[in-house]
Amino acid sequence: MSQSIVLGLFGLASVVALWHLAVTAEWVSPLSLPRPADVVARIGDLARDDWFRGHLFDSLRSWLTAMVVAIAIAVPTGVLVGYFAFLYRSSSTLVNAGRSIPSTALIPIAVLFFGLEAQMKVVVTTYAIFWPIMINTSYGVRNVDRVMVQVARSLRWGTFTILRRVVVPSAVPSAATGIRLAGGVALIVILSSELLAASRGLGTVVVWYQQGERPDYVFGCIVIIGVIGIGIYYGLRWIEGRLFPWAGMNRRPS
Amino acid sequence: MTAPVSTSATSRGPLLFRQPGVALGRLAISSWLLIVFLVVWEVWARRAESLFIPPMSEILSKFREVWLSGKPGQLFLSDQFWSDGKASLTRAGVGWTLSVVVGVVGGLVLGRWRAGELFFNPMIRFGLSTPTTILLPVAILIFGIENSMNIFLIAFGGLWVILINTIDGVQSIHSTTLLTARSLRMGKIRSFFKIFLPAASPQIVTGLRVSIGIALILMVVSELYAASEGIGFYIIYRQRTFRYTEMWSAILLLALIGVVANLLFAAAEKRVMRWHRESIGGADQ
Repeated sequence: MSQSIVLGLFGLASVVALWHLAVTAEWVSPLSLPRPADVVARIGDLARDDWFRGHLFDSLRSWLTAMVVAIAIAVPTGVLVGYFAFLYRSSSTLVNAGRSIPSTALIPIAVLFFGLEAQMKVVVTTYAIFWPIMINTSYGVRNVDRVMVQVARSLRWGTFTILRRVVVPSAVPSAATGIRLAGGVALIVILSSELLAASRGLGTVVVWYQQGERPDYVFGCIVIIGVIGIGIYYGLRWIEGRLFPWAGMNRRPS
Repeated sequence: MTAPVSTSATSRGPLLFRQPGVALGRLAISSWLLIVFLVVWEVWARRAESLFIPPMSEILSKFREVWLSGKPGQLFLSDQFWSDGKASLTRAGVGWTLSVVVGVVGGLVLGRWRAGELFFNPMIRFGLSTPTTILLPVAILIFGIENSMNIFLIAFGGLWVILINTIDGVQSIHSTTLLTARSLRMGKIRSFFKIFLPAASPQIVTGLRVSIGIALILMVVSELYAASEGIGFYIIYRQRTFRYTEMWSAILLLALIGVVANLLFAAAEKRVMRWHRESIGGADQ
């Protein structure tokens, strides 16, 4: 454990040192790569800046809204599609087509309908993450132990009771995997729509600083966004462990 | 006609010609919902007369006109496809291949080299969690609005998920397998190809599947943001000049590219997994 932290810090330090060397020795133009010390200083500036924090919260709010909406739609859909074989077969082509569209291609269309406000981001993102959540949930449902369902049937439980007490709990690990995957994809799509079109959010801040030729601020934003991404990943894993402790049981500890 | 489904699924040869009844029936069952969706689109669009959503039939005929009007010598694909479509597909193909090579080789090495994995772990976590699109402005600064910019972004975005899955796959190899390899005095290179690559292939394939989706997303974003050709460029240019039917035809093309990529990958996966079951699956038990 301690060895892994030491080696990790050593690795991180080496990269930063290499980066510093590359800039001071002018292997790369300082206009495209600022010094690490400057980037750290800019991160401090940004963290104290109310204007920046407003954009940050705007992105996070869009992310959370899209996640909540997508989970609310995709999990029930996935349960139904996974449980009823007829629905599963009927929807397979539609699902394959829908999930194959690169979601960012829909940004220009969403702009036509929803303009440049948060609604546009949320709609495109919800579309993008509906698929991984729905598909993983339906896989989880389909892999439910058939014997358990048959026992429940022989106890004369109704379909709804079987779904609630047998199928859904067994499908949770798979659904949680889909949701964790969706958390990362949602961030990609939100930032893409902000880079391309939105009027507010972290992506617009990055574009603004890039056009102002302040690469130190641009890199500061990128580091902050990376940290948010890591936070989202481990946050979702933590929530998963707290809410569904049985979800990780079959998984290798890592 | 009433042959059991399993026979037709396992037998070789084109399904359609073997048992037309079964195949057509299955096709009907699996696609009627898509057809209903397209019909509802058509009817709704004709009634609503929305400027932004043209009827499906118009999109389809525009699709044929823009993308499929080529001569047989060009595989019926139009000049438009051979400029914009080819540009996009080349970028995605080169970028994805780069991420596969670096990710799989790097993952095999780091999966066996514990200290190296711990050393690079913070960078891998960071790369995995950072939404790659945010690097677009920086990539443009470094590479300019060139193909290399799109390729870099696509390769960078797909790399991490392949890398982490390959490491995971190598580390989950059963210790008996490793001991056997050692007792057989297999060389490093040979054991990489004969042991690690096949044994890790289920996780590698998972990583590859996710990375295809990421590659297509990044291909489109980078072309929407800054490019002088490509499907994404086509879409944004038609949107800005209010030619919405043409814009939709390009989105349909992207959807088809996505479907074909997923189908090709599923077919390849089936082959790899069969080989995997034969070579490793038996040895594990």
